[in-house]
Amino acid sequence: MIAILLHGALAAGDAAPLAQRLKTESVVLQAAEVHTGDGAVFKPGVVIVLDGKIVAVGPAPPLPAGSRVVDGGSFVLTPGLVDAACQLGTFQRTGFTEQSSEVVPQFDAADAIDFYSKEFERLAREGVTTVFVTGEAASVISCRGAAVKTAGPIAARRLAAKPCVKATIGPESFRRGSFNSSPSRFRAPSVFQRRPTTRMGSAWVFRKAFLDALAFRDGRPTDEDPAAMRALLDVVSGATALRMQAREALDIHSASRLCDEFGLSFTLEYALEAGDCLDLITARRIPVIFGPLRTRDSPVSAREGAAEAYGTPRRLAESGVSFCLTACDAIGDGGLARQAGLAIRHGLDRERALRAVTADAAAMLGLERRLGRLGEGLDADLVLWNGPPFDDASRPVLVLIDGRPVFDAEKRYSKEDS
Amino acid sequence: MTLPLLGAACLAAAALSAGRESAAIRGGTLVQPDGSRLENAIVVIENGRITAVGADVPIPADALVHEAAGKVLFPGMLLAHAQIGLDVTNENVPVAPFVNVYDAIEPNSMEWEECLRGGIATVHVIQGNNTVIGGLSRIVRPVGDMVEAMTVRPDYALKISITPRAGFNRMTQMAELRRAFEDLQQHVNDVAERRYEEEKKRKDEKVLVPPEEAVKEGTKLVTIDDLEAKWRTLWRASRGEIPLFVHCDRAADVVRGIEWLKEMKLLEKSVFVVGTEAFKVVNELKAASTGRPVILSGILVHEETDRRTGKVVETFVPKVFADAGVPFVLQPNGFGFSADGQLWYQAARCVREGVARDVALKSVTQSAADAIGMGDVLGAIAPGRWGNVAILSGDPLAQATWVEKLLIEGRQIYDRAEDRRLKELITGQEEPPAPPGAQGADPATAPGAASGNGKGDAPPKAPADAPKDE
Repeated sequence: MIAILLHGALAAGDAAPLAQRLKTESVVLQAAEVHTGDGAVFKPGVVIVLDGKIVAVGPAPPLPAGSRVVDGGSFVLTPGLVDAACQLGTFQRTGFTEQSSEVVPQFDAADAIDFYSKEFERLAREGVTTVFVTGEAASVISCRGAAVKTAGPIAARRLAAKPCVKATIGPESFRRGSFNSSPSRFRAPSVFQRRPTTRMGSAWVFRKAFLDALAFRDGRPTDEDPAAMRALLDVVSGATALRMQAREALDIHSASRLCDEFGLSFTLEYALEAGDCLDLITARRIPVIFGPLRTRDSPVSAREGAAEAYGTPRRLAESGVSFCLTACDAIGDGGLARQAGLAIRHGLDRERALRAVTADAAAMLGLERRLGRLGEGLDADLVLWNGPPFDDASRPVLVLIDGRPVFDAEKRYSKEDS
Repeated sequence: MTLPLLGAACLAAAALSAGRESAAIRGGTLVQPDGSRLENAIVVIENGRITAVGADVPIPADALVHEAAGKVLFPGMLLAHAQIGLDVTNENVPVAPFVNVYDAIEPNSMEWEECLRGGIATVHVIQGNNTVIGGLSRIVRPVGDMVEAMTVRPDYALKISITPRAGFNRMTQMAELRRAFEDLQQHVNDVAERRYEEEKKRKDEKVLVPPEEAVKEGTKLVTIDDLEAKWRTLWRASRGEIPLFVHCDRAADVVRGIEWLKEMKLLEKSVFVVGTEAFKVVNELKAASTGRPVILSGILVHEETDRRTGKVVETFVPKVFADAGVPFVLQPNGFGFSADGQLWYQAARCVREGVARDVALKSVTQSAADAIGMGDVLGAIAPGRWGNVAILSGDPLAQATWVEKLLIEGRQIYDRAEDRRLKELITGQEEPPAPPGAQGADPATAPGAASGNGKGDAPPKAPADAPKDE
């Protein structure tokens, strides 16, 4: 298959320079297993990379002489992982919670992303090559998110994902930490004491924002920021996607009801209790960005789905719901690879789990033509695992983003440079 | 505990206590802590003890056979340092060697059930680290309606902390620790002098020696019953009769702990319970060589930020111990259904970070058994050892592996097929209740009945063949 692809490329009219470049500039990654992320597996397999893009994927063919080969040995190659609802890399504590308004869809998360954040470094090391930095949950209608690669030259790291605004239904939007505390009768009201303070208030802020936007469209006077109103109208028209963060079952129902009022289609974010409202999700065909599965018992959030959530990915898959997995703001023990591993442990098929953190996550972002799979023409974001991917005893040993090694534990890639 | 439940337990115990009891596990791949494998293994357990292991050993005609073809047999794992079943882990008195976890263990805690699900057959319940001198610990099976029925070994060890308890500094901590032993000595001296005088009086002799001499002579006469109750445990510990589990969080605490224990001549009776930073003094720990493995914190990665560069240096602690050849014991990070609460996960992480597989496997079995002084009877599957065997669905360290069955001293205590709660947790759907009288339907109650007391070879008190910590 590879041979055919290569020959195809070679046979093309002005292919002589390309053929030459394939011989001299391409990198061939070999591994005992190549999982493409959309279900196909080659044992063994190769991926050929040129100019940061994948030019061919397939079973190991006889390689043209002079090819530069990176030997993955007995290891396993997968696409780079994609987290569709990440909350890292944004100076979370100091610069990501807007206090002036509850409704800020005109804001862009990209303006708050710290490309130098150590969190991105760690994500890359753990095989997460692309994240969608999603809006924060302390505003009812938060900012537009931004898709970025976790490593590489900064200019190349921003991706053109489909514009997407996030709204939060549930306690996070009215009760969250010291920056978002409830009004106290002992303290003067300030921007640090946010409203709303109840689920009802939260729903009202959402509803009022869209009523204002419709009034703005109809030319009626409103006090709201025109930029915010235009951003909301883009949501109404479908030009901008809408995500609803709703962890608990009742908030999932509220989200659905609120969106119905304005005819909005939406994606559920986090949705830990999705298992309790599978009927609604299936009937409405609501895509779900599910997670994070907790890795430690927390007495505080005990009522939030608790352990039941472990079986939810399998149930979502069986119900035919379009879903991907997210680690939210966890790295390491609770990171994205571990999320996939836990889903596998609790019954999700291995290839489906891989899809849920690669191809399906990329599709949620509208980036399926750019990344998330190992396919011709896609970004060369690759992870080489030293054992079965997502097993607790295996880890990434080589991570490539756009064909460049961003983590190389065993010097498999770089030894050939030196 | 309700009376009917207690009644049922007694009935079951009575029914089980009659006659010899043998069990066998047939088929399956036996994975030992040293990583060796035996395909198609047969394990025979009689009266709670393993009597034969091999590919071709006869199975007694009366044995209850557990078919394990396609499964993996692994020794029942151990928690060598746990606070399971204790709602408050420390007394608010800094020096409290007179308390005993016996009085606090909650047999109905859900955590015991999680132990069974996680393949853990033995738990050393000891007080927490927020203390100067804590009370007596107890080694238990994670099953039973009463602490007596759970007990493998009562009054086993004492907790001492070199790291200051919350809100105090290191000098205070050491001063209080030394003071406790000085107070003990004072009390023993007083008793000795009194005993000497009583002895003389009994023989109608006059006391003619100075007090120091009387104390010296009298010390030989002192028995534990002469002492005030609150000093008895510490007295035994000071004589090396009780192992010490010595908590040292920071590297400097380890060094201080070693010095103090040498000073007290208690080093060889001690097990170190260390924090992540202890990897820096791994050579000191190796040289101290207490003969017992070091118990590591559930947090396996030590993070240190360079203040000048802001660079975070991460050290995977077990790898350092493994490289130095110091045996160690793993603890779960937290405990419960959650994924990090699983002991095998910690071992799998070790393999991921480059620790040899056999070292990782030992750290949750053989080394853990060594740490609680039961290394010759627990922690591996071999003739003469206790019949604690987990039947797993796959490799002990693989992500998708589940405990299918757990045998404790030859009895099946847990069966995943009957674990309704687990099914509910995973499917999110309520399981229909088990029909009345179904055996072992609910792991929370059935094991209590199964391991009830009165059973010849698995008595509630310390079994006769338990190694003594002389």
